[in-house]
Amino acid sequence: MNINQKSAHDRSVLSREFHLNLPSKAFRLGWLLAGLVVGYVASGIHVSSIWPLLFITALAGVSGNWTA
Amino acid sequence: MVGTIAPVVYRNSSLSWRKAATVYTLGSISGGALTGVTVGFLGSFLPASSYHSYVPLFIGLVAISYSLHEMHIVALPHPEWRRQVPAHWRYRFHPYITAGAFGLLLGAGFTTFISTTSYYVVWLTVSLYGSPALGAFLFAIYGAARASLLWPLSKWAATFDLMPRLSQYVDLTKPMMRQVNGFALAMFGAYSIFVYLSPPR
Repeated sequence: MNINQKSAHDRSVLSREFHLNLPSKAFRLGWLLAGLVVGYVASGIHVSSIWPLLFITALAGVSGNWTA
Repeated sequence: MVGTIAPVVYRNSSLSWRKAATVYTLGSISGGALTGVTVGFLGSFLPASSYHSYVPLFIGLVAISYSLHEMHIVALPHPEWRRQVPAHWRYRFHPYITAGAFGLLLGAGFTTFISTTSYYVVWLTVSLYGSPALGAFLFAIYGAARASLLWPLSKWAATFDLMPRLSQYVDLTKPMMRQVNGFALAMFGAYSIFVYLSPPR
C-alpha cells in the first residue's frame, strides 16, 4: 500500500472509529442540551466558580493546537 | 508547532529538543500571562460598579451562544488575526530563540488563528472583572495548556515519516474538538447562569 492509499485508508478508519464527520443537527442539539444539564447540576452541587473557569481556560488552550 | 519543535528537527544536532520545548513552554506561559495582565488592566477602566453583579449572567449567555456556534447551529462573529507564526524566524534566529518567540506568540492566543471560541469567553471574563491578577493567572493556564500537547505528541514527530500522519490526525479531529468545546461552553454557560439565578447561600 503506497503512502497515498495508506492515508485514504487511515482517513476512512478514523471516520468510522471516531465519527469525525459532523454529526446530525439533532445529535448536536442533544449534545448541547447535555452540556446545559451538566452545567445546571454543577451549579447545584456548589462547585467553586474557579473550577469551571479553569476548565474552560485549559480547554481553550489545548484546543488552540487545532489551528486552521 | 509540533512539527517545528520536534525531536526529528533536532536529530543529529548538538541542540536539545527538550531544551527547545522547555523554552517554548515557558514562552507560551509568559505570552499568556502578559496578555492576561493587559486584558485585565484594560478591563479595569470599565465602569464595573454599574454591571459587576450581572457579569456571570452575561458571560453565561455569551458562552451558550458560542456553544451554538461551535455546534454549527448558528454562525456568530469569529474575529481573529488570520496569520501563523513567522516561519522565516526558524532560519533567522537561533532555534531556542525561535522556540521562545513562537511560544510567546502562541501563548498570547490572539496573534494567530483562534481555532475555538472558548478563548473569547476567557478574554471576556478577564476584561469584565477588570483584574490583571486574574488575567495573568488564567491566561498563564491558557499558555501552559497551549504548549502541553507538544510533549506527548513529540513521539509522533520523532521521524519525518510520522509527521504527515500527525498533521492528518489533527486535521481530521478538528470537528470533534469543536464539538467538545461546544459541550464545554454550554456547560460553563449553564453553570454561570444558574449560579447567578440561585439565591445567596
